[in-house]
Amino acid sequence: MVIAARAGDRLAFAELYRRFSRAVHGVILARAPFRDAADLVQDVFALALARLPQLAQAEAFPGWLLAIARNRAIDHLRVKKLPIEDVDDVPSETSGVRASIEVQRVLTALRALPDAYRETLILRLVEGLTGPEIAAQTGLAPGSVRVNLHRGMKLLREKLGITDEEVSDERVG
Amino acid sequence: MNESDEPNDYLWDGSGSPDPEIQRLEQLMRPLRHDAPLKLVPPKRRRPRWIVGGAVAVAAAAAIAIVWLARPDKPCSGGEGMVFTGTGELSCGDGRVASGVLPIGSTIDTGTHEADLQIATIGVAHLGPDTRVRLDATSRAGHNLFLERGSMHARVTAPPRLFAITTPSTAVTDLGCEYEIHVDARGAGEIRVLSGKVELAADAHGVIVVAPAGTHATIRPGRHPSIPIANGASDALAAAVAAYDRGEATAIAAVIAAATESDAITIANLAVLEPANLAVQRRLGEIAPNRAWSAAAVAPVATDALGAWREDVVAAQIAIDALIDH
Repeated sequence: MVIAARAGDRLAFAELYRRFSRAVHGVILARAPFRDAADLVQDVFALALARLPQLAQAEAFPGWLLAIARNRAIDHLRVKKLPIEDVDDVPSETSGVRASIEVQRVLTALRALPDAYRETLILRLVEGLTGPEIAAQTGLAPGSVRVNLHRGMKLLREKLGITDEEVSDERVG
Repeated sequence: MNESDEPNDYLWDGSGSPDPEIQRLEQLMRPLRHDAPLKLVPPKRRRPRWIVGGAVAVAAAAAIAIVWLARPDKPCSGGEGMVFTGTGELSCGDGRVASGVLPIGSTIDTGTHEADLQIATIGVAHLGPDTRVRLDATSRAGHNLFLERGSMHARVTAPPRLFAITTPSTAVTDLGCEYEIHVDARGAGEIRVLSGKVELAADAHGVIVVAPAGTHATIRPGRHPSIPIANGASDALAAAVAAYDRGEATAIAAVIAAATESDAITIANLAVLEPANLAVQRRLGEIAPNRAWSAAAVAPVATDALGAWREDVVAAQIAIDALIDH
């Protein structure tokens, strides 16, 4: 697909966008405000489009694309002079006022996780990708993704104050 | 939680017994999920000299305007309008000048010469020989030219819909791009889009097609604009599109049969023009899959979704055209 897009296939680039835009969005959302994330996704694909001829190996595309996304998100925060922990950006119209407070709380907890865990968990919980899809779209080994998901989820539960007993109770109930 | 390869692993791939807390988090966070279509602005083409040159040209044009404003006794020398510079003497209003300001409502005729017409600060229109253009409006709200006949190469860097060209049969609305257009004295001609996209409309017919970079469309007097086809499309597709434009009954089937994966833009526009035709949508689904379409569909896609589908195809066409070394 990457080779086809680079060679001028008129639909291949759109297909790359379909396949990777959620991964790009998740990586950006791990660092930048939600309100800016959609525009930053477009920026990332515009940059990728311009630089695609410089990509030597097509199989490196996922990691290369997400590296552009991380750099773009970091640059964006730098320009805005906002530390990510100060970002409070989930609009209430997204899911209602009460829910938006909870969404913001979870998003803040996700962003406070170590890098590898926060990206992987945002891709799983926000973007709805499965572990195998995350592996394919990030270029990570499936085993690494599985570990990141489980360890990250454990840390997230701790940050959100969810005890193992609560989880067990919900399963029984 | 188990990190091993257990088969029952909801967190890993959604299999097995659902974890209620993970399900709650998925549901809670789902509204933040990315679902926007590709909306790339026309990528910066490798023409920095034009951008720099454009700024210089605008400054030079402003200087010319000041000079001509100071000479009100010359034709096309002052008032509101567009600054132009010709390669020789041109007809402007009732007089002949090599450069000046084209007033609103006046017509410029290049005769045997060529001219550059500055579209305020947003771009430039290069007029070929034997070209007649009338300035209908120029203000912050928009800039409108009427191309009576001849050829024009327009380059515009501005938000969509600020610049429009009307021909005797078609209105061309700039959506941020570069294109070449020519029409003859009867109003027949062609438009070729070099970057970005344009919208083609004929008021009397209510037909709107979108032509992105790397495509061209026919302009026909007294008829709606043709469906755009990709540069390099087969002769069979061009003939089928021409037959469709003439209203021939079997033309839709011929367009579908002739369209390849490189012709998605033609089928996408045809789908918008023929919203009830399931066969057209089926072909579009084959060559440009979209979330709006299912191969099992038994009813046509909604009109709004068709428009969005076409926009996806347009965006892909623009994006990939930028990769092609023209």
